[in-house]
Amino acid sequence: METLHVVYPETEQAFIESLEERSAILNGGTDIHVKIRAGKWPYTRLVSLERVETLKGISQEGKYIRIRCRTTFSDLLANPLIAQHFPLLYQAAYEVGSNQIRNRGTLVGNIVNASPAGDGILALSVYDAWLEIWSRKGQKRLAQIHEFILSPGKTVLKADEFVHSVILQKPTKPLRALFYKVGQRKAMAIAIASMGVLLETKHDRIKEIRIAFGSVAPTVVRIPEIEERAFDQTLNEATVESWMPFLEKHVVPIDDIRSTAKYRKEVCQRLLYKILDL
Amino acid sequence: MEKNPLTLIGTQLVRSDASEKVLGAAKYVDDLHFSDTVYLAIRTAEVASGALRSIDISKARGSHGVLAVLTHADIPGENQMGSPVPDYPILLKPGDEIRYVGDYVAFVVAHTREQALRAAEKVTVMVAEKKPVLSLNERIRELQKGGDYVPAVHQKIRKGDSDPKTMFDSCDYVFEGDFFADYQEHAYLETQGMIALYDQDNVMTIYGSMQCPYYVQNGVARALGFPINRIRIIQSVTGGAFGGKEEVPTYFAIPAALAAYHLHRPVKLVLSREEDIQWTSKRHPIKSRYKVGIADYGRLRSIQVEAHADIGGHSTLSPTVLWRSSVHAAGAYEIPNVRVDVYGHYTNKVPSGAYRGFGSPQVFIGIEGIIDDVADHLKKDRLYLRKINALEKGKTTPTGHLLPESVGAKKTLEEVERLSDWERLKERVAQFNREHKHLKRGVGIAHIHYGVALGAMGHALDASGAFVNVLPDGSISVHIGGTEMGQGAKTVIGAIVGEVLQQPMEKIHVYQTDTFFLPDSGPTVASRTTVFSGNAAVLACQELLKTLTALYSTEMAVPPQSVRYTGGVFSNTEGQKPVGFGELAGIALKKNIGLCATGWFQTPRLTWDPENGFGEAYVTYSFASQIVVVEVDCLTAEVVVKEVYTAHDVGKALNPDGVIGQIHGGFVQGMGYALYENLKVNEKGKIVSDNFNTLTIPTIHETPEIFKVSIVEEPFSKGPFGAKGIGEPSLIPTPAAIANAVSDAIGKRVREIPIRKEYLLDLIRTAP
Amino acid sequence: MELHLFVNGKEVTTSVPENRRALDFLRKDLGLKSVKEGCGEGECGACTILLDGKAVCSCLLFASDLAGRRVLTLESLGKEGHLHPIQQAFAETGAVQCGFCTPGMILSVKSLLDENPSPDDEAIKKALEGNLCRCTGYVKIIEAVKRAVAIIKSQGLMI
Repeated sequence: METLHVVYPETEQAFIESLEERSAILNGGTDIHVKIRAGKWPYTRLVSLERVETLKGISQEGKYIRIRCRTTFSDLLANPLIAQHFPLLYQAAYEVGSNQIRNRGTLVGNIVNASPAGDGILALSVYDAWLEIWSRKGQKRLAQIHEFILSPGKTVLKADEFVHSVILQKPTKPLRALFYKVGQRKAMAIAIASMGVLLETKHDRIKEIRIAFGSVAPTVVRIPEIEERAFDQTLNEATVESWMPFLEKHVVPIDDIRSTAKYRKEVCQRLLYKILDL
Repeated sequence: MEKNPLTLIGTQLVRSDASEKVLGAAKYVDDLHFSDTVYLAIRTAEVASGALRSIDISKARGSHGVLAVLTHADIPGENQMGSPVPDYPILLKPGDEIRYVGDYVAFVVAHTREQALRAAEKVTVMVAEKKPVLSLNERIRELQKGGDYVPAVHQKIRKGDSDPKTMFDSCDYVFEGDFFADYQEHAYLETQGMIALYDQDNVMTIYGSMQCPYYVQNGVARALGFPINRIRIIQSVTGGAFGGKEEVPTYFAIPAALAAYHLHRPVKLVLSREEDIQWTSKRHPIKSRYKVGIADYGRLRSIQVEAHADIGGHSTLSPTVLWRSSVHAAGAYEIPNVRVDVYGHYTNKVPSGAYRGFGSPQVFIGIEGIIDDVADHLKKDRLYLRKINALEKGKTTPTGHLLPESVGAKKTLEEVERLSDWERLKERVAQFNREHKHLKRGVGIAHIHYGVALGAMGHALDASGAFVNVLPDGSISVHIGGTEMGQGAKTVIGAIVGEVLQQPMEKIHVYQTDTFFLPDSGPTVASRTTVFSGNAAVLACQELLKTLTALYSTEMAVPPQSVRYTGGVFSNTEGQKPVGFGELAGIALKKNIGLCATGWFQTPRLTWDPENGFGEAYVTYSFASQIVVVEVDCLTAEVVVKEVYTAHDVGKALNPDGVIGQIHGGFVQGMGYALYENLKVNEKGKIVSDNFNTLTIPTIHETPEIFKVSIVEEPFSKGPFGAKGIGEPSLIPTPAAIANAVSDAIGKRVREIPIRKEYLLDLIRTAP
Repeated sequence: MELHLFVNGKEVTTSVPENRRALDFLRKDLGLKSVKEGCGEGECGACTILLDGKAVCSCLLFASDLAGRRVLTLESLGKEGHLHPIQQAFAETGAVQCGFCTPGMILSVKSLLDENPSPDDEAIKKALEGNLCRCTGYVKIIEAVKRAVAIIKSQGLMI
């Protein structure tokens, strides 16, 4: 293995200037260190965000919330804005890894890692989050979370770009939130299958529902057919059962070390019943 | 001498090693450092089956930092580490058969571990690959075909009418069922590791993480061709073992010792977690078929068990493990007619070996599942059915062992009934299930016995020594042949010594085990340490008291029969002329009277007929009963354990806190086996769940919220203060109790451990 | 790479290779052997240290990530005969068996109690979920945390 070089810029400007073709960004390191150890890390140069203090933090910008890239899962949990406006993101952050992992792991790192099992991605998916992408040349662009991730480990990020922050619009009405992760055990689990649901009902009738699944397709998937059809449907078992066929197109899991495609497929259908308890 | 009230035994003791451990100062093997140390990496075959054609080490030898690359030609002694069956070469030579991916081809030694690992990859190995046998079923089919295939192991039990054609004739009902228990990985937190020093006196000294130093001593002597007296093994503080550091550490001590022998430098080998999981033994996967006949409204009359175990590429301890499976397969009940056959089959996978419970948890799921089937069919209470069949004093075990004493079986059943408030518990659970649609709770019971120590099959190894030395300041040093691996051996032995000598724990120091101090004391396994090292310590202390009593009698001119020793003070019968232990010790030493003694405890004799598999299997048995409440999410097939009620007959709890600690830990480890720990082997015979992100052992969240323990004390007359073992019985009932509880929750019999979600969801979908 | 940091209250100035893991730096270069390696990938918590008071896995950090920060390892807590209340509670409760997870476990408890002096069961579990123990079944560990809370309160101690 070639020696790994790590650089530690201390300002945003220095950080941006450090980005090169053959470098990767170290932002927390809870995934990258595992890959380095397994010999599965292709880059020889890492640019660390560790000392760039201005890239940390959560701020309110009108009806938006901005989460800068160095913000850890623990930071999300500690910030009342997240618990208040984005309960599903809060729940997902609460179930990420362990305390030690949440203290280091960042939401943006989780997104860029682009795992279909990423708990943070699932949460951002139902909130239709935007990502503000900066380039070395100083250009900024926005990408929606759904377009950002292409396949496991692949995103639209170009070599000279990085995700500066996540932008979330505060929901204008109270949506009930459910984050449910099926793992190999209760805690410290990587999702075998996961579901995120935001729901608004009035007198048992559905006014809005957003629903996404993780770990059952190459990327986190939303189920637009359910979201469209559910309006004004009565929330009951029959309704939920009528949605099951709509999963077929989106839920296309594989067998892997943690579970089987068959189980994942079936459990997604059955997870829909959990919405009844919301 | 009169009996004194107990002051240490049975009281609340602080572990004697607690301070160094909470300070982070305890020295595990990787914390030890010797200057000039070099590091070792192992090059394995990487294919599961085939013949080794050639080995080319030239590239590895030239790799940066490399000091030596050792192959089969560099072994001065015997190229063999298989025991008792010589089927396990240390290093393969061209022409040898590869039996699993982890077979050794070369040892690379370099200045750093990273250099050694890098060079090991450069060893080129040519192999004529063969299609590996990876499935136990393939072997079972071979056996059933009746050709010339002979299983590597066959253990059997025969009692009463054991003819399968007639043994069920007199039964009113017959129940049958198939069961399967898969691998379990020990997952001790400290990986295996060794340091070898070719030291003064021409002795090979080895420090390492292990539970059986004498195994290591014998294995290294054989490999180096040294007499045993030139091998010294010092156990370093050991970070958990659970059977995984019984026979296996020898396989890492040998490479380190070979390298130290050739290089005359300290050699360190500490495994990465991945290496540890891939190369070390596992609990045997066992498939079993049960047939049980019932008469007289629920009494067990006949049982036939056929079980098949995957022993992996080398037989290692499998004959012994599977003998224990056979002894426990028919359960903890009185059954007149017994036929048990346990077969062990070679496959091209990691060797299976010792793991807490030693082949018994896998078979208890069978008998305990069937007992529930019987109770349900007869519409009888599951606890009641166990009670009417339970062993008692004067009854015989399924191997025909007439039990003369120390049978707390029924009491443990009564205790869990009381602890759980059994009738109300069943009602509570039924109520919960009426109120919930997708969440279902279930109650499960398991009742087990466990033979303490090595038993009839391990007679030759079943003796232990202890050496107790009183120093001029009255402090006491104690060496034992058993080891501390986290279970609390040092504390309990210290308490025994303190109790007999009537001295406080602070004065007693129990050392890490060192083979130079005591003769081969057998392995620290089989829940035997408290009994065997404990008895040896008692004998040594009694010897010392005899010496001190005689001295007191001479010094004080008191007839020996009227010397009193109480509260650490010698006196005459009236309590006059008091001399304290320390003072008298000082006098003795000044008079050149030696105050050291060795105690040697040999196992009581057992009568066993190996031909027919009948007789006294073990010196005594620990008993346990357990009730668990689980909650099954029927949508996802997730299971959590909510409540545990468990009762254990340990003879006498010498260190009650330690006993409870074992019970907690054993339960959670058994729960991990039952529910969460899936060991995956790929199509090339390699374990792919080789770290804790895929091999998911329980976290603190999985621990049940309600955990009630009852200790039953039916003294064992040959145990120290009446004690029997608890190390393994703490785990054994749990997989069966959980399987039964999940079955109860979903209304369908669970037949597999671990209860994978994929499997359970199928059961739930098809449940009534 | 030049490195300047504070370890267990002492200033350390040294030089490390830029790809050196914090775990190896602390264990091997500084000799802080209480920092254990159990898995190397952030799953077991045996290598837990406190970084500016927060529990982190030192196997998932470079030594250079520690620059300018305050690092605590278990070596900083108590001394023989003068145990820290958490250490005392672990010893007295029997929350220690093999002891390999203990250093990381105790540091996780410390970071919990520093932030939340009266944690409920859920808070205790959340703080310790990243510290695997294979011996105790965690029952006595939870008891030990509660005992530590009681000791600290009874002594009016600041930890």
